Amino acid sequence: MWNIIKKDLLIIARDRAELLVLLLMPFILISILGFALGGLISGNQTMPDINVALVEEDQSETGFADFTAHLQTLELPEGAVEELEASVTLIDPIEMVKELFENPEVSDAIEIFEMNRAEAEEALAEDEVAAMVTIPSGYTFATLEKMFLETGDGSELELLIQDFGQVRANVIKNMLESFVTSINLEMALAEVTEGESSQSSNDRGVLGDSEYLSTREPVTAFQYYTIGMAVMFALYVAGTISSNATLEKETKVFDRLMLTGQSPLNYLTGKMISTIFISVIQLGILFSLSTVIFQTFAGESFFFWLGVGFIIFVFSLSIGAIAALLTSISLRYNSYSVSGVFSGGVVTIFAFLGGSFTQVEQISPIIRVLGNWTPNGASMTLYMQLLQGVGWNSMSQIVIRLLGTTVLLFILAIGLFPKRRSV
Amino acid sequence: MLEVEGLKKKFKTNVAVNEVNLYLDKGESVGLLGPNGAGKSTTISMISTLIKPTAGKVRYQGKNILKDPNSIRPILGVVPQEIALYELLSAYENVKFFGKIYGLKGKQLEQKIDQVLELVGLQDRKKDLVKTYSGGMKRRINIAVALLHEPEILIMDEPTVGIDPQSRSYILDMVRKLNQEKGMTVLYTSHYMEEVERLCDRVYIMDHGQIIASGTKEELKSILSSEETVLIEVDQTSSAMLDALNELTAIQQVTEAPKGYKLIVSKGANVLADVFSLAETMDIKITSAHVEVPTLEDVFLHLTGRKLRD
Amino acid sequence: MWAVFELQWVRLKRNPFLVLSFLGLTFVFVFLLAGSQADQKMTVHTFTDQLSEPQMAEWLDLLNDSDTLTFQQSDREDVVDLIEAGRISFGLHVDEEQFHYLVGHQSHYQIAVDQHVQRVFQETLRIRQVAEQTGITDIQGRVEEALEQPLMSIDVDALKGDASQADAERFHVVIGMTLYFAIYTILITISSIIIQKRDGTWNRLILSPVKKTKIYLGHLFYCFLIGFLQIVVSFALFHYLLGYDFGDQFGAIVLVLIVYVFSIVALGMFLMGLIQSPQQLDAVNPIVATGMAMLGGAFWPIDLISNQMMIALSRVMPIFHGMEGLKGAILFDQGITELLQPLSILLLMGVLFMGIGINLMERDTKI
Repeated sequence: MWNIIKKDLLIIARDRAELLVLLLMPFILISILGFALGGLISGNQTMPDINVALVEEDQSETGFADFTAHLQTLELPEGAVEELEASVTLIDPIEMVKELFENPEVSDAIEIFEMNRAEAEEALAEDEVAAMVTIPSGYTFATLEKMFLETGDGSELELLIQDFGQVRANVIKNMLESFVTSINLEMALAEVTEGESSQSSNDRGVLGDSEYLSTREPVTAFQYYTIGMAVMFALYVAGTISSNATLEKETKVFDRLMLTGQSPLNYLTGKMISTIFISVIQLGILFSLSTVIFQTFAGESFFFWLGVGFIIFVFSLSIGAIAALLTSISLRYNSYSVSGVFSGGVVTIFAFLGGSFTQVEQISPIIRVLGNWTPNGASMTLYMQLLQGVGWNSMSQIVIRLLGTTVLLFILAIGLFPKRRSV
Repeated sequence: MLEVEGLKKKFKTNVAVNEVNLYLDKGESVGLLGPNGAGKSTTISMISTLIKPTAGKVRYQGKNILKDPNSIRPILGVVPQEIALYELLSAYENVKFFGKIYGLKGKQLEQKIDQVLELVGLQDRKKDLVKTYSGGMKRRINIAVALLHEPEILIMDEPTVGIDPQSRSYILDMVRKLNQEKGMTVLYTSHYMEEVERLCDRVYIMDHGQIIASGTKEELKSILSSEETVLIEVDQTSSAMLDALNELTAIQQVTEAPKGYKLIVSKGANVLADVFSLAETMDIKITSAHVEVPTLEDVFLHLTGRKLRD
Repeated sequence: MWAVFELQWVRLKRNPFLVLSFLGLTFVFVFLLAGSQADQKMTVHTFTDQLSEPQMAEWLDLLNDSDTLTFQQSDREDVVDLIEAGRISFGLHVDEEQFHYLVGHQSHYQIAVDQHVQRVFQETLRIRQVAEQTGITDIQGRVEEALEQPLMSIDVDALKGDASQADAERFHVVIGMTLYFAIYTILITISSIIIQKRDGTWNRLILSPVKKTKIYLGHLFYCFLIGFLQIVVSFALFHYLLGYDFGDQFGAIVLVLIVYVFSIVALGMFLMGLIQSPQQLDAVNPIVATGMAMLGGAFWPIDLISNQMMIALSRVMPIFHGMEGLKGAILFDQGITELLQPLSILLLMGVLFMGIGINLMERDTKI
C-alpha cells in the first residue's frame, strides 16, 4: 500500500502544471479576494467615496422673499406676521440638506459635487457620480409653508440614481430617507406638542454596537471568504485523484496492480491517503501563506493553529473518502466524466450550500442546515467556531458528523469497487 | 507525381527532419524504412499537409501543395499510426461519418461503405462499437476509413504496429492488392524491414532525420555487393586462429561470432579454401560455413553501424 | 460543418452521462438557489435580558413593521447556540432604550438590518422622550397621524427602470450563478477537441477536404448550443416553475445570452491553446470559472469594490458584461439598442479570444 501512495504522489508531483494548479491557484484566488474585499462587506465598512451630484434649482433668498410675500396675502392676526418672519430666518431648508452632507460621518463616505441639472445628468449617465440629488425650485417655499402655516403639500427632494441594484445608490437613498424621516418626525412632534418638544438631544450615545460571544475579535469577511475558498478548492483534490485513477485504468496499470494481488481495500486506502496528504499540504499552504501575506489569521495563539491543523486533518479525511468513492465509481464506469461532473457540478453546489459564495445562513436557514451536511460546509462551520472561540462541546458534534460521513463514504467506495469479473 | 524537396522540420532546438528528398511515381509502392524516432512520422505528416515544414517543398503534379493543401487532400488517404477512430461509434458510423466529411452522399456513400468494409473483412461486425474490437480489427477499420474516398495516394504510418500475425498478413495482402490491382500509389512507413521488403518496389532508409540511402531493393542491397559476409562455425575458437584469419589478405574484417567467426570479404574472392586449409593446419574443425545474402537490415547496419530496432 | 456538428450529437447519444448530469445538477442548483430565496423575509433572532414580556412585545411589534425583515423572539441561550453552530451570524439584543448585536461573524446582512433597527429605535426613543417631557400620553398615535402629511418627501427615480432593490439582489444571484455554472459545462464540452487531437481523429478531419474553419465551427457550434441550452433551461425553470419575472425583453435576453455563450466558447478555445491534456483542463476549469466569477462580480455586488485594479480587471471578465446585459434586459427593461455596449464588448472579447486561441492551437500545424 505504501508503494501505491508513493506512486500516486510521484505521479502528481511530476505533472508540474497540475501540481501548481492544485496547490497555488487557490491561493491566487484568495489574493484576488483580498484585494477585492480588503475590509469590505464588514460592519465598519470603508466604502470607496461615493460621488454625488447636488443640483440646486432653488435659492434661499427667493424662497424667503416668496414666503414673506405670501404672508402678506394672508389675513393673519396682528403681530403674527412679524413673529413668523422672525422665526423663519432661523431656518434655512436648503442649508439643512447641505449640512447633512457636511456632517463629518457622512462626508467621510460621500463627496458632493455641485452641478447644474444638465451636467449632473450627464455625470450620472457616465457613472461619474452614483446619484443626483436635486433641490427643485420652490423647495424652500414649500417647506416653510408646510412648516409654519401647515398648508400646502410639503416639499419634495428628488433623487435620481442609476439603478436600484446598486449598493452605492442604496446607501445614498437610505441616508436621505433617514434624514427626511427624522425631520418629518420632529415636525410631527412639534405639531402634536404645539412646539413643546425641544430640539432632539442626542444623549443616548451610540445605538446598536456589537457584542461578541467571547473575548475574541469577530470573524472578518476576508477570513470568511478565505476559509470558504479553501474548503471549496480542497474538494477539487478528490476530483484530480480519481481522474488519475481513470487514467490508470485506461493505460491498464490498474489491471496490473490488481494482478499483483492488491486488494480493493489496499488500493482505495492508498488513494485516500494520497488525497489526504495533498489536501493537507494544500490547505496548510493556503492558511499559512494567507496569514504571512495578508495577516488573515495573524496574532493567533498556538492553540488556535493546533485547532486549524486538527480541522484540516479531519476535513482532509473526508476528502480522501470522497476521492475513494469517486475512484470506485470512475473505475466501475471507466469514464473521466465522473470526476468531471464532480469538479464541475457537485463541487459548485456543495460550495454554494456550504456558504463559500454567499453567506447563506441569514437568507435561508434550511440551506445552512443542508450545507452543514457537506464536508466543506461542516468544516467551514468548524473554522467559524474556532475563530469565534466556541468551546469544544459545540464543535465535537460536527467533528463526529464529519468523521461519520467519512466512514460511510469509504464503505460505499469499497462496496462500489468493481468486482473482478467486471474488471 | 509527388516530389519532396529539401524538407526540414525543426522543433525548438531539435531538428526532427533534415533535408529530405524523395519522390513517388504513379502506381509505385514505396517504403520508408527507419528505426523508431528516425523522423518518419514527421516526414509523412508534412507530406500529408498535417504540419508545416520549417523549409522545403512538396510538389504534386508540379504544384507546391503547401500553399494550397486542399488541392491534394481529396486524393490523399492517410492511415495514422494511432487508432484515430471514435470508440463510442460503430465501425459503420465511423466510416460513414468520414465518408460524409469527404463529401460522399446517399447511395454512393452506402456503396463505398460496403466496399471498404468488405475489403477489410469487417462487414459482419460493422454494427458493433469500435471499443469492443480487438487490436487487429481496429487497425483494419483505421485503414478502411482512409480508403473510402478512393485516394490516388495512400500514405500509411506503421499500420501494423502491435497486432497479431494473421491480421498483419491480412493487412499486407490488402495493401499489395490495392497497389497492384487498383493501381494505388502507396507510401509505406515501417520499422519492420520484412514488411517493406515484401510490399515495396523502392525503399528510402531514414535515420536521425535524414535519408541515408534510397533505391530499389536490389540497388540498396548492391551497396553491400562489393562485400560478402561469411559465417564459419568451429568446434573450438582460439586467438591464434583469429590472428591468422586477420592475416589473410582477402578478408577485410574479422569479428568473433557466437561459435566461430564472421568474415567480411570482397565479393568474388574465394576465401573458403584458404580458411579451410588454415583450420586444418591449426587442428580446428569447421562445423559449418555459410555465405550470407544481404538484407535491408544488413544495409542499415552497414550504413549506420546500428541495428534497425536498437 | 454539419457532418461534424451532427457527429457531436451522435457521440452525445452514445455517452450522454456528462451532459445529462450537468442538466440534472442544473435542476438541483436552480431549486437550491430558489430555495435560498424562498423566504422573502429575513429572520432576525431577537432576545432581551431585562425587558418584561409586554415591553419586548412592543419592540417586536415596532420592529416587525418591515417588508423585508422578521424579528423573531428568542432567548440568549438559543441565539448563542445558533451562532455557535454556525447557523446564524448574528442576533439582536434589545434592552431598555438600547440595542446590541450579538455577532459571530461579520455579514453584510447586518448592515441592512441595522439600517432598519436604527430607524425604529431613533424614532421610538425620540417619541418617548418627548412624551416624558410633555406628559402627553397618546403621543404615539397622534404623531403617526401627523406623519401622514409629512413635511418633506423624496421622489426617488432611477435611470434604468423601476426594479426594486430586493428584485435586483435576487436576480443578481440567479443570473450570476447561472452564468457561472454554464462556464463549466461549456469548458468541459469543448475539451472534446483536445481529446480528439490526442487520439488522432482530429488529424483525420483536418486531412479531409473540409475547411479547418468549418471543422472548428461544427464543434464550437455544438458547444455553443449545449451552453446556451443549459442557461435557457435554467431560466425557463426559474420563470415557469418558480415564478421569477424575466420581463418582456425576450429578444434582448436571448441576444445577450448568445454573445455571452459565444465569448465563453471563445475563452475555451483560448484555454485549449494554452493547455496540453484533458487532465490539465480539468484542473484549470475551476480556477478560470471561479476566478472569473469572483472578479466579474457574480458572487457579490461589484460596486462594493474600491480597488481600481480590481475594477479594471472586472471589466475584462466576460461574465461581468453578461451580467450587465442580462440585468439590463431583465430588471431594467432595456432593449437591444440600450444594451449595445455590453453586447459589443462581449462580441469583441469573443472574437479576440477566438483569434488568439485558434492561433495558439495552430501554432505548430498552421499551414
